[in-house]
Parts: sequence; C-alpha cells; structure tokens
Amino acid sequence: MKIFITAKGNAIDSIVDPRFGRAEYYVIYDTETGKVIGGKNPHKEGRIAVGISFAQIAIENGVEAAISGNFGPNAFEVLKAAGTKMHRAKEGQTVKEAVESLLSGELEEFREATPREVAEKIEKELK
Amino acid sequence: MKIAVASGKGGTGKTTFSLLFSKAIAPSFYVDADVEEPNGAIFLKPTVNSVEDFTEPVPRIIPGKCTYCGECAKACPYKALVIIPPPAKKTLFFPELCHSCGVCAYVCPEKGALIEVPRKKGIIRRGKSGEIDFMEGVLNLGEASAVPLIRELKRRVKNYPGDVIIDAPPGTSCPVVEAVEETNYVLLVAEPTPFGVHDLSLVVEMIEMLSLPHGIIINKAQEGNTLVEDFAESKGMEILYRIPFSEEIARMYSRGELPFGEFEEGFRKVYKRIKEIAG
Ligand code: SF4
Ligand code: SF4
Repeated sequence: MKIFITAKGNAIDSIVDPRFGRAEYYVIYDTETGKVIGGKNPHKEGRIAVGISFAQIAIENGVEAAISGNFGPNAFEVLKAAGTKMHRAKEGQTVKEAVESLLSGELEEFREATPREVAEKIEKELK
Repeated sequence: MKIAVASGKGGTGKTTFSLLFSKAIAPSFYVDADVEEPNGAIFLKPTVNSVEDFTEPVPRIIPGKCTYCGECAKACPYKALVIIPPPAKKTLFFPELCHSCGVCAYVCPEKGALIEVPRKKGIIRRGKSGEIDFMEGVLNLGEASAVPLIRELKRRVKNYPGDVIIDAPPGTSCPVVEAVEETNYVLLVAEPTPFGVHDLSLVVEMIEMLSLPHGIIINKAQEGNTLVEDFAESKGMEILYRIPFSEEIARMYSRGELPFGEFEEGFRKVYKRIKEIAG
C-alpha cells in the first residue's frame, strides 16, 4: 500500500505538516517495498484550488491512504472520490511514526473535511 | 451618456450619490452593477417588473461516453475539474471555481462526453421608480467571477438613448474595470481622511490606465480639510461637488431612505459640467 503524507521535509524522519493543500512537502511511502519518495508541494503558493491540485499528486501516484493534520473541503472530496482513506497524524509525529501508527490502527480516520475557517486559521498560525 | 460612480472602498456613499444623481437628472437609468452587494433597490424602492436568471455554460460529463483520459482537467485553467482514472472512474466538478471559459469542451477528444449546460449564477432584476429605470444584477454567493454578469448588465443598456448611471463595485478589481469601461465619465466618491485619499489614489491609478475622463465628489467634506483637494490638485483632477457631513442623510440612510430632492440642484450642476467635458 502507498501512503501519502504531508510533511515539513521530504524524508521519512520529517515532521508531519498539519496542513494539506499548503503543506511544504509530501512524502509517499510504499509499505510493500519500503520505498520513499518525497517532493516539494508545487502548489503551496498557488492562488486557486491548491487542495485540489495537491490531492491530484496523491491520486496520480496511486496512493490508498493519506496522512495529514487536516483536509480542506475540496481536497477531501477529491481524495474521497478516489477512494483514498484520510487520517489525522498525532501532533508532532514524524512521517515514520505516523505511518507506524496508521499501520497499527491508531490513527483517527477523517469522516468529514476540516471546515474552511478552521483550515484558514491553522494556515495563519503557521505563518 | 454613460456615467459610472466608483470609489476606492465600500461605504463611501457611492450608492447614495448614484441614486441622488439619477434622480436629479431623471428621466434616467440607474444600473446597480455592485453585483456582489447590490443595495440600490433598498433606497430606490422600484416596482420590479421582470426577474430573469443569469446563466453561463458549465461542463457536464456523460458517464457512458467519457474515457477518463483527463484532458479536460489538465486543460482547465481554473482547476475546476478533476478526473479520477480507472478503477475509481470518477469525475468531479467544482462549480465555484469554474469561469465558464469553454476550454474543457474544446479539448475533450470524445464526441459527446463533455457537454455544456447552463448554470444559474445570479439574477437580473428590472423595474422602475418614477422616472428612473432600474436594473440590478445579483450574483450568487461564492461565484468565481462577477465580470460576466456586469458585462451582461452593460450590454443591455448599451443602446439606451438617455443617461445611464452605473453604480460600480467598490475597489480596483476586474469587476470594477468591467463596470467603468467604455463609460463617458467616471465619478469618484471619496472621503477626506488619509485612508480615504489612499483608496482614492488606487482607483485614480486604474482610471488613468483606462484613459477615462473622471472627477471627484467629496463626501463628508469639512471646512479647512483639504486632503482630497491637495491630492486632486497634484493629479490635475477636478472636484465637482463637496457634500458636507449631514446627520440627516445618515439618519435617513439607516432607515433605508434618501433625501431625494435635497441635492437636486447640486447634482444638476455636476451633470452640466460632465456634459461639457465628456458629452
Ligand atoms: S469551462 Fe473553463 S473553467 Fe469551467 S471547467 Fe471548463 S475549462 Fe474549467
Ligand atoms: S476530456 Fe472528455 S473523455 Fe477525457 S476525461 Fe474529460 S470528459 Fe472524459
């Protein structure tokens, strides 16, 4: 299974970024091969549809699960349509820790999107 | 003549003066082009005689025909479409992001897979109040752009033989440009405060770029305060009218009324002057 994680860096020991669309980086971890790929979020400074565009990177990579702190309404809808399960990382976890927590069933699954106001507030606090 | 009334920000008295002006020069046509927050009707209280939907074409993807190739989503400049390839085979459309540009329909390689259907984006109301013809556009909340609706309002008054007053949206964004473009004159409403002058300077910059004749009405003018005058002089702009602060107007405004009649003579002079410059 491939997992898409938003992060502050592009490595397995980077801290999970609590924002989805405006996260700094993403890391894709393949649980079968142990392979890790990471990259900068090319849409971070985008003006429109950041969440949608970022979610598409996850979909293009065929991930089955995603981990972040929050998922905005549009990103949530896109990932849900693609059948990607979304999970909330625990505060301060690294990518590796979050993946381990997910695999042992400890992470909460998002049933609905983070309301836009809340997502915006988080964004402001991180700035 | 077509005269636009604009201001650097909301709440400067733009709508109040648009209406007082329309009344002073009646018969005239008042067009509320501040489509995201139209409020002229509250004061004008027109008899409405038509309400029409304002629609624009948006894509609809036909499941049996679409091959989920993703071309439409890739080409959409506003990211309003998402195609999720097999096995999920889903298509998502975000109407609030769509600008009805037609690119998706143009690039779709499968015949009949993506058709365009009208989507309601607002309404256009028409009516009359005494000798003033009335029209307003009301944009649905959360729509991507106010420009098409304003363009439609302007298209409809294009051949109106009399004088048209266009109440433009506040600020300096694309909808404002759309509202003032191709008018004969732009009346700028400003308040004599440092912020007011700053906002005014931004609109003036925009109007200069569009090369439209323009002048200023000062709202809440005070004896001895020359902030707006100084700015106008530095730009070689004319001040057409100074309206002192009046508790009477403020009180009436809060009740949804206006002192129609009171400023008629003043606005008729403004009109005469505009006619000399632009008519
Ligand atoms: S009409 Fe334009 S903006 Fe709307 S979905 Fe198609 S390409 Fe995107
Ligand atoms: S371009 Fe046409 S066929 Fe391809 S995904 Fe879009 S609607 Fe379907």
